[in-house]
Amino acid sequence: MSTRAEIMAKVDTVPALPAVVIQLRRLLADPEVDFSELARSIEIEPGLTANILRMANSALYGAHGEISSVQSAITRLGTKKVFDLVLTMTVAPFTRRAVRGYALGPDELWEHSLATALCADLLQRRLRLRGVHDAFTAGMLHDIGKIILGTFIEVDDIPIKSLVHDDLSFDEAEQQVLGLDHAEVGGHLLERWGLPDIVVAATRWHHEPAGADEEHRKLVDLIHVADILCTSIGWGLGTDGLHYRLDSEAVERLGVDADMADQVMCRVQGELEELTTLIHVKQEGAGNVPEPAHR
Amino acid sequence: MTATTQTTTRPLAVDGRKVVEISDMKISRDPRDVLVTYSLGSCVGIALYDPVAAVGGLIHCMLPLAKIDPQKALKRPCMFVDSGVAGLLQGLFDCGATKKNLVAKVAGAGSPLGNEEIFRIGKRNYTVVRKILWKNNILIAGSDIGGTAARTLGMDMKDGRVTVRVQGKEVEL
Repeated sequence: MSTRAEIMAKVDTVPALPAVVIQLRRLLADPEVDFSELARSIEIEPGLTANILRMANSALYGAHGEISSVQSAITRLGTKKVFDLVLTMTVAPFTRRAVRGYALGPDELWEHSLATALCADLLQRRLRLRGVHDAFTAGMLHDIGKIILGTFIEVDDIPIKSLVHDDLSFDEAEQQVLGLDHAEVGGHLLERWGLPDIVVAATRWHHEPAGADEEHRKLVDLIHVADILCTSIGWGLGTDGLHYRLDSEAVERLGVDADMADQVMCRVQGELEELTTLIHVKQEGAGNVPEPAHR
Repeated sequence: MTATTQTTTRPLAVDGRKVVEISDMKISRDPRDVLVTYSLGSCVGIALYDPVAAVGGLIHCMLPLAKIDPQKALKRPCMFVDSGVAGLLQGLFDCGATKKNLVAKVAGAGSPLGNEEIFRIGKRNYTVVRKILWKNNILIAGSDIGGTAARTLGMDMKDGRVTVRVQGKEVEL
């Protein structure tokens, strides 16, 4: 059985997030960013360029008149949408793999991550939460720790599953068996990747929102609720099933009720279907992703 | 968890498997078909079979009531239990099924941990299933409802046998 120290050491061997994401984050932090410089940083990646053009020319974003340059695509889609797409494609090589330790088939974690990102983004807009800018990013990355535990390390899930019961959730069982859970592992990886503290916090505390600092509370609550809703609907249901606790205080703080949740989930399914049709990710794009360790 | 089940060792046939996606349904009268739906969490899967007409259908519904988004319900009626089951029943009647012969089996309607779970999607889904079937005088002959596990529901069109697979174990409803 892997120990906490061994698992954390393994996290440190995961390659860095591709440079394009870091560079885009830096450029987008500048409100007077030069779109031609943004476009150049994307055009060096042919896969990204093709997907951004496909998205900009799709009916989903109200396309009228074909465009063929990344700079025009950024103007049509907006910088936030472009960054969301770049992030989605960048993490796809990691999340589209089967995650054996959680009994997730190919694409299942990717679908769950994308659904959670869309759900968090829709809820954020519906609730008009001020100062929350990273809902999509945090949704896309919140379960990245499952890849470390379930694929890179292939933790034996039998002792964990044998512990779970009505009073002990799957993440709590992970903590008892491994000394840490997938949320903590994910937070550690994102910290190492240099992502903002708030995205790290949303990943670290997405099953225990009460543990987050006050300054990160809104986004943590949002990802907690979006994650539970999307898992409930069946996107990314693995061996852990629905064995997670919904924090009613987080739901109350946000002000989400059952009707709002139903309406948002209707929209998530529609957008998820359209996006998964639009976005093409070549499997060879996983160039810098190491092969998982085998026991 | 409510489970009116018996263990079985006979797995569902792989040949002729027709997958019912989320917010989708399939009707069949081909005995070579096995209708199957995966990843039932709080969603409900409903299998209806008429052994006299040898026709059956399987639906995977996400949410209880179409009134929450009428536009979506027009486009995707199977997303909702009320509009979806109505459509499934009509489709079965069009294929020769009669109400008095229909056998209903239901699985899913799970929920995350905690008695204070606020959204109660699973419980609300199952309530609407029971209400619609009750209004149509169709008894639920078998069910595997609630809890936290992911379920796979299948119906073998050879004989209408319905099975639920949970954590690698299959039981007949």
